[in-house]
Amino acid sequence: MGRFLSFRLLGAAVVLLAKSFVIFALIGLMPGDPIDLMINANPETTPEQMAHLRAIYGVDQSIWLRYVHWLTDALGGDFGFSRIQHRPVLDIVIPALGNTLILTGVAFVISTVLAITLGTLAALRRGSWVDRTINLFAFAGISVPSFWLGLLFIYVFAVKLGWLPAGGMPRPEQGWRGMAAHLALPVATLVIVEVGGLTRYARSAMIEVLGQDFIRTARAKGLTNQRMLLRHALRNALIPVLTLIALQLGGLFSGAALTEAMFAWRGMGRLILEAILGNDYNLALVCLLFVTATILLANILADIAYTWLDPRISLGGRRK
Amino acid sequence: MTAPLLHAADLKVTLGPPGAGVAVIAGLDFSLEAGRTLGVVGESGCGKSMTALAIMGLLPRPHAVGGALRFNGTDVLTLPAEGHRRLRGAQMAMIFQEPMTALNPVVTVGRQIAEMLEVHRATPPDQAARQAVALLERVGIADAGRRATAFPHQLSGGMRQRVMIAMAIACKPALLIADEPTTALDVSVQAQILDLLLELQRDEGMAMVFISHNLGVVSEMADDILVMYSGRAVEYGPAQAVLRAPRHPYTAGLIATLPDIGRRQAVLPVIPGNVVNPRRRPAGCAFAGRCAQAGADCAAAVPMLTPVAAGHAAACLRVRPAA
Amino acid sequence: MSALLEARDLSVSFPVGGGWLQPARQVPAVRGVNLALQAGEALAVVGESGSGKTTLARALLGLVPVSGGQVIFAGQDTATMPASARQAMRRQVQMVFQDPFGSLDPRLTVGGIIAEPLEIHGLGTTATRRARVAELLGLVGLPADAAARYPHQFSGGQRQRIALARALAPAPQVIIADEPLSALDVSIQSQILNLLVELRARIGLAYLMISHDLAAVHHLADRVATMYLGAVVEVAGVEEMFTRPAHPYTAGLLAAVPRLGAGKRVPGGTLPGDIPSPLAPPPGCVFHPRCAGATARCGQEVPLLRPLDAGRAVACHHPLTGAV
Repeated sequence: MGRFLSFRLLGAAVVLLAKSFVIFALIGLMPGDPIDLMINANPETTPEQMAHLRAIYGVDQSIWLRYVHWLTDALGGDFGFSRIQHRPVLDIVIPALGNTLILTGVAFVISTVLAITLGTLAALRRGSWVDRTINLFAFAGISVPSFWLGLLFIYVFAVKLGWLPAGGMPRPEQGWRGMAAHLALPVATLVIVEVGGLTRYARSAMIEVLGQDFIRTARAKGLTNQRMLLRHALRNALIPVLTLIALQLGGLFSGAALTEAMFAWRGMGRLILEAILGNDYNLALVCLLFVTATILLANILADIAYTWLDPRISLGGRRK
Repeated sequence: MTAPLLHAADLKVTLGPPGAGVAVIAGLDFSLEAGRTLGVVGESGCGKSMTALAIMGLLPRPHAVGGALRFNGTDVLTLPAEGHRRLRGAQMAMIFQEPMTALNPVVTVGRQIAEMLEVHRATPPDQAARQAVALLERVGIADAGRRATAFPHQLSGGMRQRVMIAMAIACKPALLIADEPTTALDVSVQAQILDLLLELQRDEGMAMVFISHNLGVVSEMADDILVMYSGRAVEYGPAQAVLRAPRHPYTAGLIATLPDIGRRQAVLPVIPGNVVNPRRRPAGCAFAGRCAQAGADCAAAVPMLTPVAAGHAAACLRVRPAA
Repeated sequence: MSALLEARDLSVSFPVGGGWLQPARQVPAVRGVNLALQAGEALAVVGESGSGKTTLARALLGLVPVSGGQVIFAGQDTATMPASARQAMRRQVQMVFQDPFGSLDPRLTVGGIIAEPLEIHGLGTTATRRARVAELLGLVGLPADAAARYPHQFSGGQRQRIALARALAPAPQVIIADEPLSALDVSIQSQILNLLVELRARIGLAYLMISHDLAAVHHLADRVATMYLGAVVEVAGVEEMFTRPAHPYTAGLLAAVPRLGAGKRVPGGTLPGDIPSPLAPPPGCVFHPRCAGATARCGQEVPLLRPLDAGRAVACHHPLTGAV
């Protein structure tokens, strides 16, 4: 286990390093640099001033030198300043990450629990009206675009009924009630959009497991349906579902750009969008690296969860 | 004479929705006394596994049943689902052909055995775990304490079947149903498992329904033999009588087609044709189409099981009934 | 008589495990097998699962890489033979599998399945192929109109006949059959067994049959090789082997075969234990932990396969001599 973890963490660090260079280089290759933006803002800049500014910001150096410079600072904990917000990058990213985690985390827990419950119910009552209703709901969720659903929710619950805020962040003094009220609509949007695919997946995984010989054995043992389901079927059905869950887990940190934008939620998705549109090198770079790191971490966690769920898988990732 | 432990009277099983069902068992009679072994022989689709599932209450849905199937005097066909569940594992247990897939791959074998005691005897988990180890020892698994913590894939095929047997006998059932328990195993391991079943039966006094397509295996295990063909019994009687003096042409044919290690023949006798699909079962005797002795009368009516000797009956128009 | 297909000191290993910075371990599946199939001969290989019999068959066909020794076909080493000779060998050695359901392409007609090897080897024209398909269907006891139908329209036994017709299509000299009966119903097994015997008499085929069904082996084979943990432990003519097995393992396998009408079984006298893991084979004779007649020598010294009497060889320090 320790050996496996150290190997995987080392691998993740190498990927992260490579990715940091790729992103750095790609941003460097983008047309326009921050100096161009400053010049656009002040047409009276002289060529000497331009060269001076370029030298201060280091834009005149080769991409390699700039990268090494950035990396040295970053390893020392200095990720630079945001050009738009004039604050250290980390001071911006960390609160945004917190906001995103609240939103996507709540949506993730609800959609996972809901999907496994609905998928199991549908599998148990396959072909019945329960199954058909759940399928209809799942397909509706898969088919509906999140921006449309979000606007519908805002229109109905915020504008027409006035029950819930249309967007924005809760103020600290509003307490958990304010948080819940502000979370309700974006979480509902995310859950409905995400739950469909996962429900379908959980349903087919459960149907497959219920047809296995060891379920027949469990019934031949005289187990109650509840025990058969919880002790024997569910854990086996979770193994394939975990792949999908792991993919979504990585997405938790990158945030849901569209939903965050729609509900004015100050999370990572919105931040990345703003940083790229605003040519904010340092901020975009750090945001993207954070996203990469969390996806890598989620994959390692998924591998560990696999070995916990399925003893046939050893921590080399092989089936014995 | 006391009532038999298990008694089937005109048992019928139809699988599928009403109106579109397939009669996989079309009228079956047999009985089994406590402590004895009934061997059920037949080819694929003859209904032998469905008979086992009917006893256990595990028939695939939707299905319809008819006749009576008494276990300890209770007709299990009319028993409510919860009542049948309480019998399963506690008083009647079953082992299957594929010990790999029949065990849960993600639960240790010790837990899978202990679960029987927890569910049916309300044994506390720690005590059940200790008894599971004792049961593993009982079925001849060396180093049982360590093996109890193993997962099925870490054991050999023979050991997995021993685990299945340990699970089945955990609550000391009166009836053990073994459905092709050695078909997936090598002959050497098959012999070990057969020995184990016989020893357990001798010590625990349980009755056994032993299902197999392999006549040789059944002949070594059974007191009585029930030969099935296309959902019905074609011959039923004491094992040695059925094997030494088969009266039904199908039984006789099955015995004759087996190559015998002691006697090499140039050409094996064969039963021509293929096993009848229960969806297209002909009127009259289902075997008539493959039978050398069949005549026009065989297609007219289903032959009834007719006594041919003491306790020995065959369902064929060509057999002369016992006087 | 010259050997048609021969294994010379043949070894096959499979890598297991390994991955990042860890070398894979080699699991020996076949260990130094010497076995020759003569033209027109029926040779059976028996042993428990894990004995290496299927891997041996696959290595002889060139389906798995060989890690040591040679496969000789018609006097030529298959590793060094020219491409044309290899092509000829592929035509001359055909295989029949256990599962008649999985081994036939469900989207091809039976005629297409049987004609495929002819097309691959460029044999005949469309018209002659059609005639050949009809001839082959007759040979395996199927009606000529079967050619236009699909595999799913046939029963298991009929599919095994189709698989045989396909194997026979390029007029091979050798058929390697891996458990050809075990997926079939009892009453169908004897039909296929008779067909195998009949085809051999009519065409003069050589068979290499892999089987755990000792009664079927007894019916079909001229010679039998017993394998244990990747090595041949006994080779003998079928009657010698079945009446006077020299290796305790062969004797144990034979004793385990259920006999019809011998009365109810009396427990005891069975071969104990399981075949050991090839990753941790016991020292000395690999069979000694399961052998009732094992001595101290058996735990130390590996017995070599040595001639016992005419046409018979055994790898045992204390071969059995009496009849069973």
